[in-house]
Amino acid sequence: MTAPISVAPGAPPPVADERGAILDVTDLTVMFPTERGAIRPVHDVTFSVEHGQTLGIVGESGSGKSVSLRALLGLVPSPGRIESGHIRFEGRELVGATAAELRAMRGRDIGMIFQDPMASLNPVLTVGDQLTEVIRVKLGLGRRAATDRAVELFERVGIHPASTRLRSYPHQFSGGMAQRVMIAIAVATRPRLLLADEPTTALDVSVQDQVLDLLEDLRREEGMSMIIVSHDIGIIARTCDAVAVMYAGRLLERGTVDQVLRRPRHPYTRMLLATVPSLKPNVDGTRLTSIAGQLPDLATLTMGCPFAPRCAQALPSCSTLDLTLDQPTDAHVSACPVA
Amino acid sequence: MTGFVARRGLHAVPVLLGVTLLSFLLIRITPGDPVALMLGLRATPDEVAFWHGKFALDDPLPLQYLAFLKSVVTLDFGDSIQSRIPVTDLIGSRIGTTLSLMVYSVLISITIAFPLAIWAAMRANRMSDHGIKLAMMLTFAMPAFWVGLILIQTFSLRLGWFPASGLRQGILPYVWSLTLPAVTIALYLSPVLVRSLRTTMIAILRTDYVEAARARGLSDARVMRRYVLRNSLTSTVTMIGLSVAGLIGGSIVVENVFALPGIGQLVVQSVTFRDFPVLQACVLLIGAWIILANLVTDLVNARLDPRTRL
Amino acid sequence: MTAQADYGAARVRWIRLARFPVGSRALAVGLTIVLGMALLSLLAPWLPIPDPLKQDIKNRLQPPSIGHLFGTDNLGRDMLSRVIYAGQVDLLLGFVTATCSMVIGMTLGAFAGFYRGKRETLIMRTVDVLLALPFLVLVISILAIVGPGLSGVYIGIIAVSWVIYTRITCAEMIQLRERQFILAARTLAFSDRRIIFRHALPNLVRPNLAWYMSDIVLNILALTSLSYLGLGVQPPTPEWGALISGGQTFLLKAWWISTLPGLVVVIVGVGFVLIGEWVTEHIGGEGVARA
Repeated sequence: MTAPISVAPGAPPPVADERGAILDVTDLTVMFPTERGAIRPVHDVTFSVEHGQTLGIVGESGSGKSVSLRALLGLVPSPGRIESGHIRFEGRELVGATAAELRAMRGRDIGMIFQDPMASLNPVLTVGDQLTEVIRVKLGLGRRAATDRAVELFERVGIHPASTRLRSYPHQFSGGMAQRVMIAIAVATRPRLLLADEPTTALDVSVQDQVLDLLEDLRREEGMSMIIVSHDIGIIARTCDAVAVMYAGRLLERGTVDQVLRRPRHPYTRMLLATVPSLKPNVDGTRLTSIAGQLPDLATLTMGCPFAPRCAQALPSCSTLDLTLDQPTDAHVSACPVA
Repeated sequence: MTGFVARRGLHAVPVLLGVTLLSFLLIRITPGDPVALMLGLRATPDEVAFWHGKFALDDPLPLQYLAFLKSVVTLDFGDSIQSRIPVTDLIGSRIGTTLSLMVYSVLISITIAFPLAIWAAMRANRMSDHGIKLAMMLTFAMPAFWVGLILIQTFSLRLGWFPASGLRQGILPYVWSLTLPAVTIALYLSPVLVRSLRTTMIAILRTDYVEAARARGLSDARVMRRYVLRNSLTSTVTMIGLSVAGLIGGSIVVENVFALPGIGQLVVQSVTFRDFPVLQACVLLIGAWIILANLVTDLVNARLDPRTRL
Repeated sequence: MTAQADYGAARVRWIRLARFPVGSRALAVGLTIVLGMALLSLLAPWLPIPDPLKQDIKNRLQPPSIGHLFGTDNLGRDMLSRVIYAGQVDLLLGFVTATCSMVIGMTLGAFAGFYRGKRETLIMRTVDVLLALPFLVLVISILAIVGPGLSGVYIGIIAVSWVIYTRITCAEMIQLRERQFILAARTLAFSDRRIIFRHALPNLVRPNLAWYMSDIVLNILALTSLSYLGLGVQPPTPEWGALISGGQTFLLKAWWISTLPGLVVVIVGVGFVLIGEWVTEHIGGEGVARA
């Protein structure tokens, strides 16, 4: 359990860079064909990330947040594919780009770290090998130069002694250290955008803070933009500037962290915030709150708000609701007309 | 690492002893007098007495076994009844052929199996699954000697590309004359290899680290080489290790089809002529060979996987 | 629109039909092959085919024709007839050896798994040793002791084949003995023998069935190999391996003598394997083919 949510009171929302957003995702839809019909784990999702900002995507498991990240890199596992929508990274359209173009961009312009760092590293290669591989392939450096850079990176992410540990294998690291390795690999090419899929979920609580601090430091130094996907609102609150709330493939609410987490407008967001355990008991004396009901079966979803069945404030009109959020992307928007 | 070696070696010892026991019992179980059976009608009383002494047939069984173990350790198996050559010489001259044949078969199998498995793993669909299953069924039911004969018919007699039988001298002719036999054996090994390799590769292609490697923008070729293939090595080595027994069984038949002077041919001859000393030694050799192969397989795997190495 | 829908539906149907090798389609094919061959061999004396032993030197080495569907061999004997009669020898051996091995193996395995301790160790160690050597090598060794010939092959195969059944059954029994009805039987103080045979064994048969099918194929293949090597049946008994061996000197002139019997072996083998695959899918048990 992380510390209760605290957003610095009165902190001004980060100023958007005049260059505009580094990433613009518009009406993104990812479709998986199954025997029971097409399912859309990402459905008409729109968000953007400003330069130098961190966007958090929060939602339960199965909300489509991880698939969204993978769609950005063109890594949706088959038979899934991007059905419609646009992904503009630094002005370039990524949907419909060739495999070669996408591959060139991965690891160099956009980096990614994953949830389970131990499982995300090749067990039969040393970590140094995997790190220098990226440096040599993506930056074209020679072996010597790559090793030097690798040592620098390890020191930067806090792995000491760097040159010795480069020769270690992944299984010889603890979870937190392995995640540092992943971070080193991801930022080795100084990407402008870093994607993090549940970066601290598999780590011990004490280590989580360290890793988040590291990410924050790096982001500031390199001027990177970040997208952090998590089901843990505490982490989002701590590290992100903006947040998007996803449920069953839909984006339900979007805005700055201050706006969404302090003055949530969507019933789902409110319930999500209420489920964060705190040391003070609830009004009715209970300590743990949960949201009644279950995630909908994506295959049987029809129109309207997917949260309606579980929503205390649902109206009959909710089942035919158009969920498009077409206001300007830096406003605080919610897909719920009721609340 | 040495601890691991010692432990595995220790496990193999009882089985090895069991094999010696088996080899030992072979002759003692024979109904009637094994020596008379062995020597046939022309046996002289001297010869009979000699072999009775050699096998210590008149001593109590445990003593016989100890004498046998002693002869195993000193590699003294006597002479072949049929050819009067010391058994160890006989085996020594033939073991090279069988070894070459097995190695060659494994090489051919790997050459066929890897590309096929990679191709099938990339597809990972019903069709390739069925294709492999079909190939496995067919090769399972095909008699090895029949396959050999068909290969001889086609590639030797009709097309004249390879010799129909016998082993040639000289490096290139040697390899050339071993090719058809090796292909025959490879036809059995390959489907098994392809199936297990493909299963392993499909599992690896789904791992997090392959996804992470792709997310770094590494090329498909590089991912395949350094992430997929490298991680499928252990299961490949295991599969090959497990097939050594089958390889030897196959070589028995194949060597006879192609008239190759190897251990396989020797085994059959020794049975036809009731040449017990030779048969005993061969059974022992084959058993030890397989046990050793399993041991080596485990060791190689331990070496390959860094998680067990240190 | 409807034409497209029809095409789509037809395509789905075709794909479902081609679903192979498991599903009743595989079973049907397998059973047809096996039963067909068995029937042919059983009814051989009454079929309108020539005597397999009747020589006709004038018509030797004839290629397949209407009169001789499989051609004739070097002594003018009709190959089709010889193949069918050979089926008697091979199929009988396959069935008998596999059944005997299964009975012996299951009994030993059941004892080993039930009592555990020293009995299990002794039996399973023996299994390990026997498994350390190739099947053919062991059978050949036994032939050295009892002498080559068909009866020797029977003895040899049974003496070696039981091990896999023992291994399967022992593992299954170890699981089974903790199950309710066995525990119940033991509290009721039924004799051990009664428990093992009446209560446990029927349940132990299932995992062995799939291997049974493979075992039949392997045993038949062993007989063919041994006969080919001259250690199996003695002439003039027709047997598939012996038939193939007989054609070796005529590979170029009369390919049908060696090739066609082999083809029959493959088809019959695949038939058994198909049945085995169906058994594995629907009844459970260890996989079918082994290295």
